[in-house]
Amino acid sequence: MARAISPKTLFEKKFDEFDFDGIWGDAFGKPEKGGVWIIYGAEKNGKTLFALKLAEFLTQYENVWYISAEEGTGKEFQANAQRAKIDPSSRKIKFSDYTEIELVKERLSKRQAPKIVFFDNMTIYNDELKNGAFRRFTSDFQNTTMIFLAHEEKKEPYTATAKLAKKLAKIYIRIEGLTAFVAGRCPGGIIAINEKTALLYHGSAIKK
Amino acid sequence: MPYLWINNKVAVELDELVPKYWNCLKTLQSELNRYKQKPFGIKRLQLGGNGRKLLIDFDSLKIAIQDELGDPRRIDNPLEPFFEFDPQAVRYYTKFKRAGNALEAEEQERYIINASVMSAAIKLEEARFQERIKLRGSIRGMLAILVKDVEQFNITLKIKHEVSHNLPASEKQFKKLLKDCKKDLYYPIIKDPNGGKTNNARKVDDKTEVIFNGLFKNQLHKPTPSEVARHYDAFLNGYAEIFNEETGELLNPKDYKALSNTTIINYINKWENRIATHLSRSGDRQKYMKEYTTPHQMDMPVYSGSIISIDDRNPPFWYEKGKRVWFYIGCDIASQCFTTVVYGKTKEGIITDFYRQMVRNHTEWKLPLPHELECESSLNSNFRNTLLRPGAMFQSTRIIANKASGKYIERMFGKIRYDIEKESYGWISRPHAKKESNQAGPGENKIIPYNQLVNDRMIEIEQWNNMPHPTERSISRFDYFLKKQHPDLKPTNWEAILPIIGYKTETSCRLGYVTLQGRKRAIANEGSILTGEALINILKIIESKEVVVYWLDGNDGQVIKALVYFNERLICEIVEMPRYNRASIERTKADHEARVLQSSYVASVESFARQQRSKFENINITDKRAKTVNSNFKFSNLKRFEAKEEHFPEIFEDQDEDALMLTQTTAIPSWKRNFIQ
Repeated sequence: MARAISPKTLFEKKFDEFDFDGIWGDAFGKPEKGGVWIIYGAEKNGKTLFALKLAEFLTQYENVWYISAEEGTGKEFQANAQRAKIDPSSRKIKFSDYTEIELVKERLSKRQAPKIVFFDNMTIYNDELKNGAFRRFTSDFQNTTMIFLAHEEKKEPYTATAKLAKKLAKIYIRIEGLTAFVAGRCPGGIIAINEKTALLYHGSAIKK
Repeated sequence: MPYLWINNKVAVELDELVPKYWNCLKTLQSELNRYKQKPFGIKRLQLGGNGRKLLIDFDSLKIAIQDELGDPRRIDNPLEPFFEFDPQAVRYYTKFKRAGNALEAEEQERYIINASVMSAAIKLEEARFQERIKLRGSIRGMLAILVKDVEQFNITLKIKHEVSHNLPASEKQFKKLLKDCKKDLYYPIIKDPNGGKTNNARKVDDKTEVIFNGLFKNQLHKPTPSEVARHYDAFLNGYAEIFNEETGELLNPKDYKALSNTTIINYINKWENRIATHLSRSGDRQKYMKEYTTPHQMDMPVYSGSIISIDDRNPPFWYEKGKRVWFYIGCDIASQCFTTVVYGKTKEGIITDFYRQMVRNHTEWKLPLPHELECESSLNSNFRNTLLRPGAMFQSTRIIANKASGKYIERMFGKIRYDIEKESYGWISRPHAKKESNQAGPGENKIIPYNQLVNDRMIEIEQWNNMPHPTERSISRFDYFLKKQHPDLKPTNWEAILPIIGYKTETSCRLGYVTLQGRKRAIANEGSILTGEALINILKIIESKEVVVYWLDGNDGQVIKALVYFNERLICEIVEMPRYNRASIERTKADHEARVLQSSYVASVESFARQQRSKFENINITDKRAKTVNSNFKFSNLKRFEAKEEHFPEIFEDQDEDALMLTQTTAIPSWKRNFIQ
């Protein structure tokens, strides 16, 4: 049984956090490293593009592993990566096609393992993560920031596992009309994935 | 600062990147070369050197660099890509008139901006709808977002164009305007397009204005505007009642607002009110028309005979104290020539004389009558349905109600007055002439004997007609009149005008001649004497009958036209029979022709008589009716024939007349008889 701690001990605790700045800092604040984030939205609304942009941004803090399970690393994904302005010379981000959870676990267990992993998306991993597998997998790698992408149905993440992921997530980001609505344990905010389309879709209200 | 290049690309210059992001040009160049053949990485837009600047593609730079440099294509409002100043709006609002008045420049500017923004909003709404459908988003609540966009767009407008719109920020109002603008973009943008709403705030509304004008116009004693203001005040305070004469309705003072006298006076004196009230109040029609009627703008005719302008005139000279001669004058407008002049001490019958004189003059000059007449109505209105009916004397008539500025001849009178008459002896100035030089000089007005006065005026008109024509100075007005006659003028319609302006003589037709002015005149048609069948047909109607002849004499006193009427029906024309010399040796060719004509005229009548006689057969009658009742009275000694009975021998009738018997006179026995017996 884990030892219970006093308030003093609680308040003296130090956490490893992302020191975000700019528009990311405005929306995300300074989130703690590790834990689950979820990005969900309807298809073709810019989930992958946002995830890639976020990944590009996160390379400033940690090594990033982006598992493109759904699309793979095909032509569309390449175009998306270019749109997301991934630095071609960057060594801090790696891309993979679909990788089984077991292999992911294996890699994450290694010494030079990436500290941020993107799973694009949960529908592909549904069979591997259901029935409590998701909870077990995330709790096994608490220091790794796992960012899951999920489809949306009735404005909620699709598949039960994705719903659970949203419940357990520190930060959840809903994507609609090329715009990311950041919420969860963070200041929250709106980030335009493609400013022109975002403005067209949502109007000037998304601009601060 | 990065700037827009072609194809929506943004160019970044070297000095913005070196040394801030690349230490030197060489490092930048090497990186450019490294990615030159690759589909990603930093890219050039333009090679440097030879006078060209090296330009880097902004989109190929790292995102951090992009954020620091700033993208000029970045938009703050979704309306931006759709917004442009609408040139059609500029045209529409510059031409638009509210209640007859063009919009003020400031208002036009505002509407042009509003229409341009509204146009962008309509496009944005459509694009947003499509985008949401494409991304499977909800299309609810779009209007609220659009209103917000439009409202926010003012910031962009101020920054980029230094203007602002004032489209409604209320969702409800904006929705209504948007709906209207989708049908017609420009009209709904205008506030109060009919100019009606401004009336709502007015203290003086239409019904109040009606009261002012009514009080000002309808009262018999012609009140001043100040009096009307006092009346209105009394009405409001209950000391006076105002009622509608037509309906009998009493107006309620509570429905009207208190107004200052100045306001009421100003409203009464407004032109749109004066033009109506003064017409009713004005006794001097000329003054009213001078102030309130708009003259036509017309070009001058070129051909003489196209239009003649006529009017009466009293030249400013006295033949007795305070008495002027009446002239009635006709002026051909194209030539400015006075073609017809008549005068008299009164205007009685002057107009009929005038038309006779016009016919005489035109006939003498061998010209048709003018096509059109322009005249005043006071003397001419009697002829409106007879002589002046289109097609009678003139083809077209314009009768102008007495209006000084309406007739061309008025201007000619002005010219003649000041250019010619002014120098004449006895000229009387106007009492209130505008020019000092036309005002009265010292001394009494002169009296000129009537005949001399008329003679002088006629000489002045002669002088006027012989002066150079204003546009063709080489010829006189009269010459212009003669030479420039319109080619399409209609010949004089004698049948229509003679019964009205001609003289009337009752005479008779005897032996083929109608006597007029003591001269026997032959029957003719259109100027030529009739013979033969045509003559006989006329004679059958009027020979030995009383007829009426309408005729007109020329300037030489000779009859120029005479028409014979029988039972108010035009029968024929009569002309003088050409005469010939009794002595055959003195006869000219014309005499011979006249003799032939006369002979055939007489022969026509005689041959008709013979023809008639030959139609009759020798038929007589025996009258068998008894002339006495009886023979009771007789002279005894008188021998008289008596009828006696005569006895003739009796003749008996033969009974067996038909039964013929052959009596045998011979005794010769026959063989046959033997058998019979």
